[in-house]
Amino acid sequence: MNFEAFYEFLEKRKMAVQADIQALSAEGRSDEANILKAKFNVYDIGKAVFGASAKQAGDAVDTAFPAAFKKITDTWQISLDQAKAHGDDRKVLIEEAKLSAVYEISTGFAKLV
Amino acid sequence: MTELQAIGLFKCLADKSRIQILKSLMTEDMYVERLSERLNLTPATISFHLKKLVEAGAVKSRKEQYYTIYAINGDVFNVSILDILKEQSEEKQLLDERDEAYRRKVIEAFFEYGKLKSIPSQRKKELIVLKEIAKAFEPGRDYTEREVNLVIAEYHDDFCTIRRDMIVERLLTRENGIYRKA
Repeated sequence: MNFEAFYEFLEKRKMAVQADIQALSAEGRSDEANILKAKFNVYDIGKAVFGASAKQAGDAVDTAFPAAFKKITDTWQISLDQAKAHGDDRKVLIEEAKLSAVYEISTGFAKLV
Repeated sequence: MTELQAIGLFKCLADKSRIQILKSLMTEDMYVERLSERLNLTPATISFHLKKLVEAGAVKSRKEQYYTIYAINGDVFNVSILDILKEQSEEKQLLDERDEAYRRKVIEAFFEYGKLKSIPSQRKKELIVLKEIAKAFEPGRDYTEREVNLVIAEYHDDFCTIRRDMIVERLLTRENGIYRKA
């Protein structure tokens, strides 16, 4: 299992999102930059969940991590659906940003680990 | 436009995406998807910004069949910034209201049937009382000291203290024995 590659992937994505946040702020799009900060934090959540899963499950991390991560991120999908139903545009953008990071992490994990 | 509305508008305008939306709406009225294509932003992002612009009063919306069409609210942008700055601030209004309520409270406490019950020891309260008595003096008219005493005596027996304090507080002026309302 390529743990190192996965950690590197998470760190790279995190840095890329940080660069996007800085670019948006520099352009005077502070609301969009603030919304993207929610996405930035998801990579750290992924890293923490992966570390805990690896510690607990050992070699079974390839099934333990997706299950543990899904448990957390499924609530974000529910939150997105609720935000859409109530016309909460800001919440919609935040949850969509977070879920886009979830998609990246899940596909990255499938490829790398 | 009130001060709070102006702050809300200026805050709302301090964003590049929202300025771009407004620029697009200057050319023609548009719906979310059209703005999304034009500005290369997701429809959700456009909706988010439009909501803020509508709340700030910068943009108006109307329903046309299945679409919500957004348009610039010309009324808001036709107000000059100088006009906004000339508006009396709500904070000042609030302070004025508080001051007036306090003034009335002091007058109610120290006056009874038009007579001053006692001279307040607190300067702030005394000033309110003195200003109330000063209303009895006609502007621009010359008063002798005796006339001043008679006017004040209508309110309180200690006309000497009140007369002197009215001079100190510059509510009355005295020159060559002649008093005038300041």
